[in-house]
Amino acid sequence: MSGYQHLSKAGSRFLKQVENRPKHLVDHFKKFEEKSMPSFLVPSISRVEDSERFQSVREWKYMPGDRVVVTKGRWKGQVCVIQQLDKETNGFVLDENGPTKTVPVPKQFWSEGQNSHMVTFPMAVAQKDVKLVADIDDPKVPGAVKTVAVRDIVFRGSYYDDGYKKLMPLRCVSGQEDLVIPWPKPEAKPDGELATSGEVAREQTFWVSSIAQSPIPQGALLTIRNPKSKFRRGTLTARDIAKLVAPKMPLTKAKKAFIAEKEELAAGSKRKLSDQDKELIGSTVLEHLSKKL
Amino acid sequence: MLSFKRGLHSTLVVCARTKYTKPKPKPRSRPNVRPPTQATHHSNNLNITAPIPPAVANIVTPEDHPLWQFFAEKKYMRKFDELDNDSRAWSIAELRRKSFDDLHSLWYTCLRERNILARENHLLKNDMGSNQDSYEAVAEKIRTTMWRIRHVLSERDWAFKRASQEFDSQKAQFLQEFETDFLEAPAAEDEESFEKLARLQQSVFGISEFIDENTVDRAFVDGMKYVATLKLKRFASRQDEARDLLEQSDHSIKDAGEAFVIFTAENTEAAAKEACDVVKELRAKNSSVSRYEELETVSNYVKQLAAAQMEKTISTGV
Repeated sequence: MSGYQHLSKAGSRFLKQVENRPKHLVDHFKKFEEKSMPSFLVPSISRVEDSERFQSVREWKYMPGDRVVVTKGRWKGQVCVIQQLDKETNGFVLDENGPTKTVPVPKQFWSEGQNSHMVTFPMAVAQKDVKLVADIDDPKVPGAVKTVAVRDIVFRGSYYDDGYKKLMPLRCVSGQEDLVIPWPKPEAKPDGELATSGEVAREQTFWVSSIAQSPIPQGALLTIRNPKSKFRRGTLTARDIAKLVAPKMPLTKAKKAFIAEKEELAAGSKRKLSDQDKELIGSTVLEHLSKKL
Repeated sequence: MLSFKRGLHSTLVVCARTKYTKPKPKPRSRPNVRPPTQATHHSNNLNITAPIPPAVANIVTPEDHPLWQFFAEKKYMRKFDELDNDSRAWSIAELRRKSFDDLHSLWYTCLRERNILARENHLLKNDMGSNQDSYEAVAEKIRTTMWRIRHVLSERDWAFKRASQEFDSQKAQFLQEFETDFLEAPAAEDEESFEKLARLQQSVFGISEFIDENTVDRAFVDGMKYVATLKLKRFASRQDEARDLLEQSDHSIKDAGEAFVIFTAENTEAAAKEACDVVKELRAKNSSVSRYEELETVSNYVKQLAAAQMEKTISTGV
């Protein structure tokens, strides 16, 4: 590592090749990683590739604050609250009711107040191994609620959520889509220091006042757009055409011979039926007909 | 002790003392010797002090050092949790509402923050050898805002170009319609009508109400002539001078000098009458502005008027 990768792309193609492990060796590398890494660093479920990481809430389905029930393994049936999303493994880190592991930690990684080598860590749980737990109105007992585990959820429509400060899809129960399970309320956070307040952002300061004066100073235009851009030129240069047109495929030996033969045939004089030939054909046909009829 | 004198190689040979040369007499002592114009350390006035040891404590960085702009709150590096990871980039729809000046200042705010982040990111990657992308992630969001600003401005420029192209074909009809409405309005609504006219001259010809804000170009002069003609037409029904002038000048003012006089007059009957008299005087003197010198002349007029107004405001202010 040169320490300049963020400034220069030199050698980046080579590095990409190194990072792209062949598919048949992925499992081998994983096994090796598990063996060589200290146990407190090995995740309980496998890491996912960067391209497979969950990006949106639609993929995550559950958010921190949701109650879920574990459906597999030693902790099957435990109802826990999601503490955080584990982005490296696409898993959920649950609270103290959920799966944990106790592993030795070397002294240089000890945190303050620690007095034992053994530390209990929560283990991430995969999405397929949990189900959402929700309180819904009990149809049998009006006015009461009952707690159910939802087999699956689907997303229908969207609304602006004030807590998440973005458009969130409505979370409905699969098979009974009128039943909406609200998203948990996220922790209230103060606005970041780079944030602009909504009022200032929404205030309109641009008004079209004249058709004779450009809304942008002429000096600024060159920094906004390249007037000589090749994408706006409207004509193709010889170089562009060479890039766009595929080269002609070279002919094989057999094909060349075939074409030469055809040309030779075409160049020769046309054969004409002589009277003798016509006589021969006519007699043969007559002979055949006289035999048959 | 050997004494070497420095000199050119030719003079040195000539001046060289050999066994045949007599030692030169000492120069006579001069009573009025001019002190040297430049004091150098050759004058033995150099004070030797104790050496200053190189230490951080000895370096005082001024509070307003320009390189502080590359630091957030004068910190060497911010921690990851001190960064603003939650805020999002400005959307294009939000930026469309903002004026050029707002976008311009937002651009520079973004640029300064990106400078800070780039510095911190470089330290992290190069000095500490980390592969964390926390600084880059924030910088990328800011970069998004920046390309969106450029996109919005470019969009605005295209819209302006297309609109002015399309408007060229509709301009005459639009001005005709405005003229009929303007002339039909009753005399009691003079104030409102002239306000409308001021808005029109701004929107169609780009003439600002504040004379010193204008740059004189073809559109300015054409607009001035149009506005002057319209003013005269407005007062023609009430004033004989205006009507006469209109008839004499074939119902449109074509001379830039005359147009300037009427254009800059107040929107009252008395002022219009005065302007008409001035125009008649000009015509009597046979002074007119050639079409080829219009821009230069009018721009001089505008400058003079702006200077006069400035003087007036200063004198009244004091």
